[in-house]
Amino acid sequence: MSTFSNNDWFEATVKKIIDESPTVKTFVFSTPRPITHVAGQHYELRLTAENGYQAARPYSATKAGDGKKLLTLTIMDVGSGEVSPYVANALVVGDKVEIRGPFGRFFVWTPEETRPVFLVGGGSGVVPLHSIFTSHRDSTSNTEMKLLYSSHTYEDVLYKSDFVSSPDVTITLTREHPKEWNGYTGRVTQELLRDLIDSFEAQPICYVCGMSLFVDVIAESLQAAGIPANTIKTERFG
Amino acid sequence: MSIVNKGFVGKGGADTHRVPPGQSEVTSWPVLTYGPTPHVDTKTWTLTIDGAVNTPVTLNWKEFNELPQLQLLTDIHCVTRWSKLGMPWDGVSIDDLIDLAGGLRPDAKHLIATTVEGYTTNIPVMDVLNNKAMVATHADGAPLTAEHGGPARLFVPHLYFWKSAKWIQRLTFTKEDHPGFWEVNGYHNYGDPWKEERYSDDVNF
Repeated sequence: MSTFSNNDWFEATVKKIIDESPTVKTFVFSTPRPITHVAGQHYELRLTAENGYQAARPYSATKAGDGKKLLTLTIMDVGSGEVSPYVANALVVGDKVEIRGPFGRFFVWTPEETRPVFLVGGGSGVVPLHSIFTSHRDSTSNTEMKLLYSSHTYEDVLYKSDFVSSPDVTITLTREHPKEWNGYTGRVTQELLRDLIDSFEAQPICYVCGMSLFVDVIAESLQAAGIPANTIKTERFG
Repeated sequence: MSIVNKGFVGKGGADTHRVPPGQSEVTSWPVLTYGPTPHVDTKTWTLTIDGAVNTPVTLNWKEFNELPQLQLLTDIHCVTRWSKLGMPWDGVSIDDLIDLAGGLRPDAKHLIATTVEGYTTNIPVMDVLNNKAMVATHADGAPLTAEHGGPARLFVPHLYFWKSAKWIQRLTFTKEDHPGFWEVNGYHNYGDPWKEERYSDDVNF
């Protein structure tokens, strides 16, 4: 039996590419080993140039690993980035990249968690939350879990098939919205946060992910709504 | 290396004397914190130096700011793969804080830094001596903002930046090592950017 370390790079082959939004794609990679991470963990993806130059970046897994030799990462084209523009625009099915992981044991959720959970995501910060949300949905856990998702536009909403019609997901569109949109619009308000927290049967622990400014505003508002700081986990970027 | 990503050129050409392997230079200063940002009032702020020191001491903000100032012009390296080069940092050297606590006892082998919210990180004592580390109050000439760890954070620039604990409250010197918050959550126990000591090894997961 072979052993793997999460620090060892492995070759992964692009098997499928799903357009999630104009700037975000989900990549399904076939991998040489079973993928078994828990929800919320991340991997590193490394590219190699013809001259040997390499660059790697961390990306959250889209869903928890299920033991199959498949890994799904959702990657946003950060126009000024070094790795994501190539991944988003140049990679095609059959291409190989190097990947290692999983990493991170803090911003994670497993079905052993018995407390209710409130997830709050901004933009592509929803990626690790999708992993947690679907992991919970597909598990035998019967604890409450709800997601509040702040997105610029309807077009930018990721994982529409999982989120848009779910009774446990609240979406607010901050920049523009379709005429027929009857959900929330505008930035997350204190009132909306408080209403959602009050809708839980018991006080939830919170996971917040997004741009740093978004995370700070949400974390402050959650505390103002009575959530203790030590039950708020955050993951930030930008 | 068998894989070549055709057409990928990256932004190579970084100053390899300054930028450790696998890092990219940034000019912005990203914020990374595992939880909400605490807001620490300098009126109630204290810093305690205790554990394996001869005379443990607690300083208030005024006493701390009357200590001699150290400036380090240096680079910082975040494990999330960005480096920010050539920042001046001001604060009080750990050597001076140790002196104020009567010096280290011979069994002081590790520094355990604790923040106001209870986050900890561990650093070998040799890595914080000889002006290699300080409790910093200013970066780029301006007081540290809350999201960057103000009013004062540990500053150990030769290790990945999670070791430079924000909102520092206590420096405890110990005989035994006590892996801190990120160190028990999958990150490397030491964190040398030049050796890319990013993550701890999980085998057989």
